[in-house]
Amino acid sequence: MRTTSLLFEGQSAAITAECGAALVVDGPPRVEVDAFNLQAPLSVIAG
Amino acid sequence: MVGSSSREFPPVGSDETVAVAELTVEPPGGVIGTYFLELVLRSSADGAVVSRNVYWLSTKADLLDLEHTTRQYTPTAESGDMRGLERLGAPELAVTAACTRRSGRAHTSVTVRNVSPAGTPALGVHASFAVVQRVVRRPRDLE
Repeated sequence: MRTTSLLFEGQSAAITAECGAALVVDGPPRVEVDAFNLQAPLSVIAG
Repeated sequence: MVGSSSREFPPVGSDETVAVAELTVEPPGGVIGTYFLELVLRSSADGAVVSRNVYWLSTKADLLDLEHTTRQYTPTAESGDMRGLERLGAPELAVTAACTRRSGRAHTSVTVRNVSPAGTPALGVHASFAVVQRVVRRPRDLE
């Protein structure tokens, strides 16, 4: 998807992505969010 | 945030480029080493953010070795102090994601918010699809 710039406390970023028709995802996609200073990536299911 | 300031500039027309200011930014008082600079350009009409850039800087400037410069390269004699980046703790991030399907295409929206109670910045936030669980071939692909 994409890398945002730096987020300070209270700031948010909205990121969008589109999958093409060639890939049909069986179930909602799982999204991982990481940052340089995160110890481990966060994982969420896109509901 | 150690400090902030704002200035208002004259209007800029559509498809027009105007140099409105040359900013000289001094390091925040009491800071030694690495610090962040956030430049935000807002519309005076509604306050909407037009552009945002964040820089990580050092109170100690890079020192170029101009005596040994070549046509392709100028070596650095002394580097700025960016070690503060290594000492940043881990931020707390709140993440929500939603997926909608329209006409065979899937749109996924992810919102990441920094909710760190200690005010820790999050550097280089990146979102990606972890796993595409199964690829379903269309009937004509199997012929």
